[in-house]
Amino acid sequence: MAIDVSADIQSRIRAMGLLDPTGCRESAPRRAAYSLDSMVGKKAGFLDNRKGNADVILERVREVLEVEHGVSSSVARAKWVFSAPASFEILGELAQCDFVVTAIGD
Amino acid sequence: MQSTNELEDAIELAYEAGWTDGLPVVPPTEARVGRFLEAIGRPPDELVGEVPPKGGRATIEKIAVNSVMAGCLPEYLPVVVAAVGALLQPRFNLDSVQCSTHIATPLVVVNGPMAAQIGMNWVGNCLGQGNRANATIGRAVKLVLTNLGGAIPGDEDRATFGHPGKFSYCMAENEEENPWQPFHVEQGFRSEDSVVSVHPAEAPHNLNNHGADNPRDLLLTFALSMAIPGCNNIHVMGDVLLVLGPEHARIIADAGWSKNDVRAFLYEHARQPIDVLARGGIHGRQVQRNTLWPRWIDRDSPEALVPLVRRAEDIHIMVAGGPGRHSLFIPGWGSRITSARVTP
Repeated sequence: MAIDVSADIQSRIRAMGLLDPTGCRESAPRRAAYSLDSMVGKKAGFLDNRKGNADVILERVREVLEVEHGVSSSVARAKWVFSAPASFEILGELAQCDFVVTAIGD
Repeated sequence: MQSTNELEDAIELAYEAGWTDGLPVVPPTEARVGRFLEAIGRPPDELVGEVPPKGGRATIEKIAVNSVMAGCLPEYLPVVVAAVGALLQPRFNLDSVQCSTHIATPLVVVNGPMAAQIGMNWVGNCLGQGNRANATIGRAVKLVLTNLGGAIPGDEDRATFGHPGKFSYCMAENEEENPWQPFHVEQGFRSEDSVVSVHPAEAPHNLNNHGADNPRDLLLTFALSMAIPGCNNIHVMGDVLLVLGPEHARIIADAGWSKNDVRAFLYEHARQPIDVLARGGIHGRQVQRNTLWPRWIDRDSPEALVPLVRRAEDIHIMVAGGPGRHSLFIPGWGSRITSARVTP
């Protein structure tokens, strides 16, 4: 892609008068969310994408977080289908949580 | 760029820059791209849309650059632009089609007067080699998806195999030998419109029946060949495409059957029992979790029959190809066929 092409190649492209067929959006730099100091008393969200066994993995993670790490409550939701984005309704519910865990099964 | 050496250097430079599909491209010089922009007469910076997954801006000029590289003629550009517009309709779910491990890639089908005007092939070998418009329009669409969408193999394109249609996958409908309405008219366009339709498509599966003299026998061959447990559709539904060869279409139409009759028969007969799909299905035995099948299917009944698609109308029918008693089943990825009118 254009942003990865070396300066040498770019200068040769210009010298030959070629037009660039690429043009991927350069997204603004983002940082990861700050880590939580502790999970004690926190509300967890779980998003099952409906791939095989995603629900199994998430249920086990939920048990561990509640029993061993003090998570106080949780919201578990499943997407309608793995290949489409989660609905705004689901995203709205998960936005009320302190953190969210999602999973890809298979 | 004048000399043979310069041409060779430009072709090699396109490889170094990562612009190609593995085959040599025509160098996209300003002069060549300028001829395409002149032919289409639309503003170079007009935005058709942002191509997922990486959101490259598909302007008329960027689509022209990729069309030049594919070997198109300037008069093909409006078809490529319309194809990109169709691909960006949400129902196609291009983001997922581009990044999936599945084999799908867009099949591009042209209807209406433009197909003849630019010399497309809709008869024998229409999905094979040998016709410039078919070959280069399909290639241009894929170069747009790769160069602007960033669906680079091994990077965002995670296909386990891919298939040869990822180089180019394009044809026109054989409207002359279609005994029913052309596909684009069924989609609500006028017959005089030129329309591009795109299908998130597996490679074509050949349906060979040289013996049937009636629709039921012929369509039973099709139904048994379409309800494939290893295909996406019977698990995630979405659209499928049946391309009837003209000889098969004639057998069906001469018996008085409509396209809706064909769809009804296939919807009824292209089915698999829950028990088979649980034991041999793509997601194993968790059939209870399938939210995409119609609600009326009793998931607790091993004998309950699951249709290939949710509704009969999700079986799309076109006519194409030349002499010979063959048709094609082209399974989908799980999303929808979309169409857009060509605006010269």
